[in-house]
Amino acid sequence: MSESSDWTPLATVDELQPGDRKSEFVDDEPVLLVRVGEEYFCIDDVCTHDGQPLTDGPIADGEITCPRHGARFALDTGEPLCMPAIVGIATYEVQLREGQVWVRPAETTGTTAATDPTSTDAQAAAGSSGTSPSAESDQDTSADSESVDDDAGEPETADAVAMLEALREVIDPELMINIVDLGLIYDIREEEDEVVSVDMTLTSPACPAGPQLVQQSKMALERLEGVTEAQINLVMTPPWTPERMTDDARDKLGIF
Amino acid sequence: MSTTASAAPTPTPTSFDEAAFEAFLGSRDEPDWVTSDRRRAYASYRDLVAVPLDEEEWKRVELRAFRPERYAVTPADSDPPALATLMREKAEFAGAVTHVDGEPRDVSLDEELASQGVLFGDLAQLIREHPEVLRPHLMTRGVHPGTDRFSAWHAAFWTGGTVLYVPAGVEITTPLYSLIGLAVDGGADFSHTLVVLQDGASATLLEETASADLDSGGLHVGAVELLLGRGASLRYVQLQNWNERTWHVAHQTGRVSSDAQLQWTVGGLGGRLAHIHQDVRLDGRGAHAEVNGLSFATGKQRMSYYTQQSHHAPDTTSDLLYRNVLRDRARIVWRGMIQVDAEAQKTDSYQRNDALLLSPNARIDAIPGLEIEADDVRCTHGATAGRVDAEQVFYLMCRGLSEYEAMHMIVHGFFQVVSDRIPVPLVRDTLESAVERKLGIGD
Repeated sequence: MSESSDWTPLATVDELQPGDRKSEFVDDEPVLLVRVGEEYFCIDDVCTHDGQPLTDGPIADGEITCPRHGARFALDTGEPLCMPAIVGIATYEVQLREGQVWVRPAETTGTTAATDPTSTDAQAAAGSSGTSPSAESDQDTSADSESVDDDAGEPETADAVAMLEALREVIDPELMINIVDLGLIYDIREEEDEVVSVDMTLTSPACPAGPQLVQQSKMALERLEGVTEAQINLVMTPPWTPERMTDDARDKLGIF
Repeated sequence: MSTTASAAPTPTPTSFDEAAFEAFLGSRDEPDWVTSDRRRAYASYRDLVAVPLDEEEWKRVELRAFRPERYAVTPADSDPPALATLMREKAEFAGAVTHVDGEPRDVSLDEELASQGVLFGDLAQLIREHPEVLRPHLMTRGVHPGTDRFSAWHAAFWTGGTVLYVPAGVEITTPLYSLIGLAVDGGADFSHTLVVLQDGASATLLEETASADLDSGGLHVGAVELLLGRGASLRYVQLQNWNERTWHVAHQTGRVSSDAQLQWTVGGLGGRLAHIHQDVRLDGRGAHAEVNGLSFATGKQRMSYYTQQSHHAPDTTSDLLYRNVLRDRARIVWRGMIQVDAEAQKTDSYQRNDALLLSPNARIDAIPGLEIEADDVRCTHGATAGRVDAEQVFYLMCRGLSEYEAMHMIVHGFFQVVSDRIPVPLVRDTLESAVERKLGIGD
C-alpha cells in the first residue's frame, strides 16, 4: 500500500486452487478474489442491487450470480447481465508477480447498463488488460449490437462504429428509443469512397414516422466526416420483430 | 434466509477481552454498584458478540471492514489538542462540558441553575456525587444493555459522558452545550449522554462530536438517553462530525411522558460508517415528539439510521423528517418504523425521508414501515429519492450562477426544510456552515 503504485497484494500464487475464492479488502472495501482455471478475477464484493455481499454466489461461465435475488455480473468487466441488477460492479486489474496476486482498481468501474455500448467496449478492454481477454467479454459486447451483427456481419471499417453511433441519434418518436437499439438497421455497406448504403426497416410497413426516420438517418450519417452521401434503402424483408431489439430497449418498453 | 457477513458472530476483540476489561475497571474509581453493573454488562457483551446481529437492522450495514481490535480505551493525554468545533465559540451557553477521549476537560454551569438543583457535567463524577438522583435513570428506562452487542459493549465500557438533570418546574432558557472529542489515534469513545427532565422542566442541549485531526482512526460506541417527565420540554441536537476514519455506532432512546414535548435533531456529517438506532417512545397521553434528521454523506461514507416511533399511549403525536444528500459513492440506509400499541388510539404519526443524489454512484435505501395495532389512528409515511432537477440548475445558471454554485444552492434549499424546523438560530447557522464546508464553499 505504501508503494508508489496502488497495487495491493491479496494472496500468494499457490494459495488459491482453480475454483477457489477469497474475501479480502482493498482500501478497506470488501473485494472478492476468484480463480477460474488459470485466470484470476477480482471484483467489488457487493451486489449493486441490494447492497449486500456476493461472496458465496455461484460462479459459472465467467459470471457470478448473487445468492439472494439472482442478479448476474461478468467477472471480468463487472457488467450487469441479469435483472434485478442494472448497475455494474467495480472490477480490479490482476497481476501475478513475485509470487503474489496483486490487484488495483480497473480504470473504468461499473457503469450503468449498456445504454452506451462504447463504454462497454472500453470496460471490456480495461478489464482484460490485466489478465488475458476471455471469451465472455466478446460475447457480451456482441450481444449489445446483436441486431446489426446478426444480419450484417461484423462492421469492418472503423467508421462503422461511428455510423452506428450517429444512427443512435435517431429516435423513434413513438417509442422514444433509438433506431439502432430497436433493431431497425439491417446492414451498413460502404459502396464507394465516402458513399454508404444502409438497409433499414420499420416496425411496421405503414409506420407513419417512416419518411421522418429515413430523412433523419440520412442527415445523421452525412454529418459524419468521411461520408458525403448516405443512401437509405427501406426494406421489409426479413420483417422486423420485437426480438430484434436490444435487451435494454426491451427493458425500456417493459417487455421481458 | 442467507446470513450476511455483517450479521455474523465474531470473537471478542482482543483489545476488549477479559484482561482489558479488568484493567479498565482497575483504572476507574467507582462505586460498587457501577462496577457490578459493568460486570453484568460485560458478561452479556461476551455472550452477545457470539450471536449474530439482528438481520432486519444490520443486513444493510457494511461491517465487514470493521476491526474492533484496532481500537482501545486509551488513557487520555494530559494535554489534548484543541478540537475544531462548529458551535463552541459561537454563542453563550448556560453550561458547557467537553470530553476528550472519554475524560472530562472543562465543565461549567451557570451558578443560578446549580442553586436550583440542576445537575450538569461529567457522568462519571456526578454518578459518585448524586447516585440517588441518577442511578434510577442510568440504562434502566432508555437504552438497555442487553439489546445487542453494541449496547452491552457500551454499558460495560462507558467512559465519559454528559449528564443533564433538571428538577421539576425548572425552565432553562439558554442552551447548554456538550462536546465529545477523540484525539488519540485508535481511540475508542464510549460516551453516554443522559438527560433527565423532571415534570414541567425544560431545557435545550446541543451536542457535537469532533476529531482532533483528519487521519486518526476512531471508534464511538455511544448511547443517548432522553427521559422526559410529565409536561417537560426538551430540545436536543446531536451533530455527528467525526473525521471520515471514525466508526460510530449508537443506541439512542427518548422517552416522553404525558404532555411532554421532545424535539430531537440528528445531524450526520462525519464518520466512515455511522449507525444510529434511534427509538422514540411516547409513553403518556398527549406526548409529542418531533424528530429531525439531516445527513450529508460524501466520498465512501456510509450512514445508517434505524428509527422507531413507538406510541404506547392514546392521543400521542410524532413527526419524523429526515433529509439526506449523497455525493460520490456514499451510501445511506434509513429504516423507519412507526409502531402503535392497541391502546394508543388517536395516535397521529408521520415519517418521511427525502434524499437528493448528486452522483450516479451514490445510493440511498429508504424503507419506511408501519406496525399498527390500534384501529383509530392516523399514520402516514413517505420516502423520496431523486437527482438534482436539471431545470432548476438551468434556471439558476440563467441567473448567472455557475453550475457548481447552482448545485450548492439547491442542496442548501433542500436542507433548509429541516433546519427551518429548529427554532435555535445557532443550530440553523451551524448546520448551514457545516453543509457549506462539506460542499467545499464557505470557510
